[in-house]
Amino acid sequence: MKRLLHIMFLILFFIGLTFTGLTLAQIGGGVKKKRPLPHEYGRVIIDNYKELWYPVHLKEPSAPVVFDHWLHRARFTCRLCHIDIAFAMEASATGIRASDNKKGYYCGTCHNGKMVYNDREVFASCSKNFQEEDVKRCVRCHSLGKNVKREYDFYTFTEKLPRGRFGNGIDWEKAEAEGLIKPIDFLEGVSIRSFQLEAPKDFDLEAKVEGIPNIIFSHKKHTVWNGCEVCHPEIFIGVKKGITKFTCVNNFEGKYCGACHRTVAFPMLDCQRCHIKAVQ
Amino acid sequence: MKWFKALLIALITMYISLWGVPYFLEEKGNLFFPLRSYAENDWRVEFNDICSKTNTAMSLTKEELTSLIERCDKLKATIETLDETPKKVYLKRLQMCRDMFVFVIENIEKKEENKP
Amino acid sequence: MSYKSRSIKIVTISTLLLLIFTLEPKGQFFTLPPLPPDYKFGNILINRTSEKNNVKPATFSHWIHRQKHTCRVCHFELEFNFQVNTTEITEAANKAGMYCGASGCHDGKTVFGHDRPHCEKCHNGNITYGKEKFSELSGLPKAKFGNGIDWVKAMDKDMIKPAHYLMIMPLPLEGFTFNKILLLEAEMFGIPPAIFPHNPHIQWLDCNNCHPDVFTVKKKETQHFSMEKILQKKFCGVCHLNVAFPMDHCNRCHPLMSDYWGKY
Repeated sequence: MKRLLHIMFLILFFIGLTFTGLTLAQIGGGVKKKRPLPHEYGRVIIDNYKELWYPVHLKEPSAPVVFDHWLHRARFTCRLCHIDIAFAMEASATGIRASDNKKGYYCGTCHNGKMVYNDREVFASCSKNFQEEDVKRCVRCHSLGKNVKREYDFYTFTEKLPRGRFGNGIDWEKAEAEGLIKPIDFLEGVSIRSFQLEAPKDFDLEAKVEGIPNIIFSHKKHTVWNGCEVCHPEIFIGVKKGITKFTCVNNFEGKYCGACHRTVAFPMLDCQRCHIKAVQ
Repeated sequence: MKWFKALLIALITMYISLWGVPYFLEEKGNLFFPLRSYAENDWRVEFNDICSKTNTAMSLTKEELTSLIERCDKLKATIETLDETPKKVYLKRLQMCRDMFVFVIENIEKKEENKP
Repeated sequence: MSYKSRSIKIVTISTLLLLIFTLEPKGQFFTLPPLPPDYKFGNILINRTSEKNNVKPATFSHWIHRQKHTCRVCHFELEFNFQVNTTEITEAANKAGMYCGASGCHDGKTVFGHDRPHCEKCHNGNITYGKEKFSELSGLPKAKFGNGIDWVKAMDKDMIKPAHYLMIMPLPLEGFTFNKILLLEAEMFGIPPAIFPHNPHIQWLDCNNCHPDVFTVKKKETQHFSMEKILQKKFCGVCHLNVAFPMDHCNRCHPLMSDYWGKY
């Protein structure tokens, strides 16, 4: 018995050794990551509960949902989905269930087969009476790893929009200013009528590294598509002007500015897009 | 008139059995059963009223904000009695409004500290 | 001997062995990649889809392009990756003004474009294509390895004037005074530290070329990079193996060392 225990211990020890070896090898990146292509930028993979629920007719768990921000942001403001429909700011953090969609919440708020957009019915999300022919509709969203042809092609859809740097390669701000996109900000029965938001003044964010120009932060630009609650206090948690310090490192980790400006809003690649104010 | 009453009762029973049951199962309204009961609609009105103030929160006084936060807490109890999905959605939305009011109050307090 | 004491012995010995293997300096056994002739250094053949489509691979010479444009222009603005055959360059994309075909580059106006008879100027499968032009560079400051040219000095002396941008201006220079010099302690015992000056790198690159992917901006987070990793094309090795001056030039980074040290 004792001998057996010792042998077991030795085996575990060696397994442990191999694992530490592996982790040692993984320290540090050191290589350049590939940038997502314009049509891939803003893509979110939503993968919840795949073991728990899948339509019987599919005979296999439904694939994770591939959500591209670009089509939705051309038509709706950030606020509409991230405040009024209560989608979290992090992928898969909302924990959307098919039953939620069926009841007319989350995706089902609009994707209910009834809402009309541009004289077209918005296709219904997860339906309750699932038929074999509905599979085609399921894979419109549950499409990870499936070769599904999207109804809208990114490059044809964005052809006329003004070019921008990086990300989707589109200047969304300019697109709206020029009236090429008119994102909807109000959904009857979901949104709340409110007073026009008056944006606080623009301010400087001092760069933390010597010799790097300061950031000019514009509240005005951010409130075009957002309400206060999107950022305050959830994302800029505990950030009080002039007290809390955060740096690029936090942003690159997806905190603060990085919550949006890493995966959806224009990426933090060209420093000078924000660091524009000369050091005094 | 007796047959008329009987017919009416029969019709009502039929109606409930036809629409009422699915209504309760699916939480869906129809012409005769408008979306959710009155009590539920009340909380929606209250919710809309509270959360419509986030955009103007910065111009409110500390007292007004405190009373808004109290109203949030009161409403939270009602929302917690809702079904799973609306509960989840509206708790999150309410929390966002409440956090926003707290955030503004903290900012006001900070300003007061700076100007003794 | 009881099993207990024997297993303790085995555990101790293997731990020691592990320590020896991880800590043992491998420096003396570096094998730096063999250096090509100076006119071939930094030349690549791009063959992601060419041969699959019965076209000869495209030849690309860094030393031709870096006379006219800094690294930043192609590797930041035009989104070329740092690893050959990973950028999804296609004829259609080039013709649409991306990658090689960007306006101000091979757009058919500034330099030859993507139509006949120019195809074979790139798609010739000859990695040393255009080597006769290399002699034109004989007047540039000399360096020991690589192209045999000190490109940084050449730019400092205005002998070459590579464009720093096409569309996206770099950080405004009057506000940008950042030039941090880093002292990187060597991992191996007895090796003098390496010096990293930001300035020559800023002249050629954009912040984003290195940060935060290759080097995180976290303080002391990059202390784990060793010569071994660099030789695997990581960290400094992303550039300083095949394009920027090669690591045979030890004392250009480790100023107190002599050259060739790693080779013998």
